[in-house]
Amino acid sequence: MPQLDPHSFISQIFWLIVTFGALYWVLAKAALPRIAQVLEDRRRAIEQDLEKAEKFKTAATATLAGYTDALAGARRKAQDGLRATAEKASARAAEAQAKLAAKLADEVRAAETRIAAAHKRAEGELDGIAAELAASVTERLTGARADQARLARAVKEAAGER
Amino acid sequence: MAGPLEQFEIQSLIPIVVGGVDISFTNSAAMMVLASAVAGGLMLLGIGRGAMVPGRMQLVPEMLYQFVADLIRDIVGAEGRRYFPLVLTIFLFILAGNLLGMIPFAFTFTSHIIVTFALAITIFIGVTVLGFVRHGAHYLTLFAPGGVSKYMLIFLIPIELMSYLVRPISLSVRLFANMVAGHTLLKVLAGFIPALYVGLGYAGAAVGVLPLALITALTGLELLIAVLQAFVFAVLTCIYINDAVHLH
Repeated sequence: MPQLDPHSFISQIFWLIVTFGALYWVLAKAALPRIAQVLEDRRRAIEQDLEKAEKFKTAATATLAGYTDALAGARRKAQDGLRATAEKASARAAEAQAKLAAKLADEVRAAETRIAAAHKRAEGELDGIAAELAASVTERLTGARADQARLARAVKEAAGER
Repeated sequence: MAGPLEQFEIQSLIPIVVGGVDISFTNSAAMMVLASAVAGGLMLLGIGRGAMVPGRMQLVPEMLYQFVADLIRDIVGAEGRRYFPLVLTIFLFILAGNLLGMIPFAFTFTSHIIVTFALAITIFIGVTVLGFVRHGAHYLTLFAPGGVSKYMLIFLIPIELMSYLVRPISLSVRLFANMVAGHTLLKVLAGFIPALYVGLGYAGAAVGVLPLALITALTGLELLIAVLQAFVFAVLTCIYINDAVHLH
C-alpha cells in the first residue's frame, strides 16, 4: 500500500502546510471579508428598503384618508347645493302657482259678479216684459187697453208668488 | 494492467531536496496546489466586486460561506466566529481534494493517511491547547460527565479519555478509509472489464456492460461520499471546538 511508505511523508506534510496555509491566508485575508461585506450590505439594503416601503405605505394610507375625506366633503357639499336649489325651485314654483291661483280666483269672482249683475238685470227686465206681454195679450183678447199700473202690480204679485 | 492500489502511488514531479530532506513536488503536491487554487479562486473570483443581486458565479461563494457559517453558529454558537476561517478552509480544502480526485487519472491526496492525519492531529492539538487556555486544569472535567455516581466514574473516565485521545485517529482514518475504499472499488470493478474480454472474448466484452453500469452508479455514490466526508470532517472539527469552548 503506497500510503504506508514513509518516504513521501515529509514532502506531503510540507506541501500540505504550504497549500493549506495559502488557502487559509487567501480566504481569511481576502475572500471572507469581502463576502461578509457583500452579505452585510445586502442585509442592510433589504432592511432599508423594507423601512422605506413601510414609510411609503403609511404616507399612502394618510393620502387615501385625505382623499376619502375630500370626497365625502365634496359629496356633502354637492348634496347641500342640490337640496338648496331644489328648495328654491319648489318655493318659486309654489309662489307662481299661488299667484296664478289668486289671479284665477279674482277672475272667477269678477265673472260671478258680472253674471249676478246680468242675472239681476235680466230679472228686472222680466217684469217689464211680462207686463208688456200681458198688455199685449189683453189688448188682443179684449181689444181694450189694460191699465198699465194695475198690470205692473199684478205681475209683481205673481212674481212674488213664485 | 495497473493494480487497484497503483493509483495511490506518489510520483515525484520536481525533485527538491533541502538540507538532506526530500520535499519533492509530487503528484500529491500538485493536486493540493490545484485544490487550493480552485477553492480559493472560486471564493475570490466568485464574489468578484460583490454585486447587490448575485449572479450564478457569485452565489457559489455566498452559499458556501452561509453554509459553513450556519454550521459553526449551530454547533459552537457566537464564540465560533473566530474559528470560521479555519473551518471553512478545512471544508473547502478537503471538498476540493475529494472532488478533484474523482476526475479520471487525477490523484486524490485525501486518500493518504499522512495528509488526513496531519490535519486531524493539528486540529486535535489546537483544540486541546484551546481547551486548557480557556479553562485551565478545569478542562480535565471533560472526561468526567456530571450527574454520574463516583463508582461509575472509575469506568467512565478511562473511556472518555480513550475516546478523546482516539479522536485524531478516528477523524483521519474515517476520511482516508472512505477515499481509499471508494477509489479501490472503482478500480477493481473497472479491472473486470478487460479481464472479461481477455477471458471470454467478445461475449465477455458484452458482459462487461454490467461492471461498467455498476461503476457509473458507484461514481455517483463516490461524489456523494466526497462531499459528505468533507462535511463530516468540518462538523467534527466544529464539535471538538465546541467541547473546548463550552466545557459541559
